[in-house]
Amino acid sequence: MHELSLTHDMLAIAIKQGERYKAKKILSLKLKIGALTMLDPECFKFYFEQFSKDTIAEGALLVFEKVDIQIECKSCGITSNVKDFMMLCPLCYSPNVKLLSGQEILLEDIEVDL
Amino acid sequence: MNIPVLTDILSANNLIAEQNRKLLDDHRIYMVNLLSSPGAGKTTFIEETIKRLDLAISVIEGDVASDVDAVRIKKLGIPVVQINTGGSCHLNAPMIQKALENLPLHKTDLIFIENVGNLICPAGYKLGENISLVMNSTTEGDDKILKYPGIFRVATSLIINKIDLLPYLDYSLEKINENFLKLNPQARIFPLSSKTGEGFDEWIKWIRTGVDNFCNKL
Repeated sequence: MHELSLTHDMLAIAIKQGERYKAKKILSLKLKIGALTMLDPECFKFYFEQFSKDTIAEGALLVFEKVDIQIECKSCGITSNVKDFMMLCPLCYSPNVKLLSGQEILLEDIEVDL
Repeated sequence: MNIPVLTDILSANNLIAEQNRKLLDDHRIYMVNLLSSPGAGKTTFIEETIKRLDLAISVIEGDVASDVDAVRIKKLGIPVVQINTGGSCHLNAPMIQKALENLPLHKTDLIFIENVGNLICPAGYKLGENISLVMNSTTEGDDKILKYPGIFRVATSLIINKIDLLPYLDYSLEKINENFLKLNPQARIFPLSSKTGEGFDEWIKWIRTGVDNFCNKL
């Protein structure tokens, strides 16, 4: 359900940026969502439709890019993608790992009509 | 036309969380964000910690509705602010900023935030805390770590509450230890009972050391 407040904040950021460029309309928003956040794109789309009514972003397309969870093992030096959230090196099983990606909730860019 | 934005959607929240942290640093106050599902025993755990910890403590209570928890804390003579989120499933940094205005910061060493009972949404929202404690109670079952990895991953420590009920439940501390440490290898685990007080000495020693180390570093 926190997709509700995230959608609200995302829309505010996009509109502010669009207005700065004097955009007539926002056509699309590109989002990068890390797998660790477990956010649901369908939820975003549903709330966005409601929130964006009567704004320059009404009708805009939401484009999602999923970012895999990537860790770097400090013991063996290998970088791996993990699918099950486990913060263990899949090669040497060391718990001494650094998270490289997977936590993103990023509005990357917007496409606008000027 | 393509306009690069490259903005973290949580940046507005995170900025206020940093402001909260700065305000608390200025007052040398350590803040704990306590997270769990509803009914895990967060309020009783805070009450029992208050009774055992020789520090000036204040509490911020987060609930969708009611002041039931705040009334309980107030009975102990502890400053408390109740936040009613009115349906929202988590506390955010602006809510905490407002709550801090209503606490006696000049005479507080430690603030406990009791977050809204929820194992999903509160995990993503920084509030300005020093540490996040996630609580799992034995009555919830030992599978919650596998089901809600997001929140257990952000925990600085895991509190396992209601261990006095272990003889009556099929709850495996070994399974919890194993699953939790795979997700979060650096974190500590404190099995305890807020009802009998078992296991509290370890926890109190750890939180006391945390507060002391924080004050010494400032």
